[in-house]
Amino acid sequence: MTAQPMSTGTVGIVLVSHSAELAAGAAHLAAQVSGGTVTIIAAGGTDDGDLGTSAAKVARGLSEAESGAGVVVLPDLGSAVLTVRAVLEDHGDAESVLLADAPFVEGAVAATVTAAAGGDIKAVAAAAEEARHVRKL
Amino acid sequence: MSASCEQESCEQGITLAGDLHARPAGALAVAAGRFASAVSVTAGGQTADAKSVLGVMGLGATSGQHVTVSAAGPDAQEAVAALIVILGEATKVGGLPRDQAGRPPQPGPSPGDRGNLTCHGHPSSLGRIIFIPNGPCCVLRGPVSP
Repeated sequence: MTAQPMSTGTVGIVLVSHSAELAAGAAHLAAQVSGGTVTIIAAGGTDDGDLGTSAAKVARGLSEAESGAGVVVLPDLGSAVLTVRAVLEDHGDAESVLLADAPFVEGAVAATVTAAAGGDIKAVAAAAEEARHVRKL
Repeated sequence: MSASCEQESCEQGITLAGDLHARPAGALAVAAGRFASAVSVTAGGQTADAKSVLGVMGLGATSGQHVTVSAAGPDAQEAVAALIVILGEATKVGGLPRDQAGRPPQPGPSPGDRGNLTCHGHPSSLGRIIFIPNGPCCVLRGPVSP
């Protein structure tokens, strides 16, 4: 599902969750917080709508999120990582995609805000991963 | 409240009109990230990197609280002026208007454009205009360093 319009030159975000609703909700939240200028693709659930992940959805998300500045992918739980890695093995340009090891919601918000500010792919992935160390209380 | 600025450092305070929730924190961090200067926000004795949306949200700054924006770097004055405007606008009741996609409203009838940046409001001839992408015009009054 496409949550946001394309914005040339901005790093794209792909949210890979076992739940379509969780991915879509996180994409909506990140878009609202960041001002809606970043392409965020929610790749959640299996192809037939169950809980799980879909290599086809991830692959399609990578291509939809790419606007020339690269794509940062955030997986939610274990096998989402495996699915993304499997897709990336078949993905031609490994440097244009970074898999971020980050808390899903906080990482999605932090990554999208950094992308909206014009950060490059490494800065966007770093923002997501730094989310792990930010206390919310 | 006036800014206290030198060549490459600047600081200004504002009393929040509303809570510093996720969306105003996001607007602040997006704007801060566009400046080269290091920018921080201090509230209630805690300081956060203004470019970190999670850090800004973690301040838990609320309506009526005094918040200070500090910047150090080549565009420190512009950064502080822009962020003070955002803090003033974004924490008002109702906050920043957004459409369904989370975008601010489209430009009004007579926006000033600079490349892909759009400036809303009424640019003043009295100061230097700072363009905030899809945001309000920020007019920096008073002395401006070269």
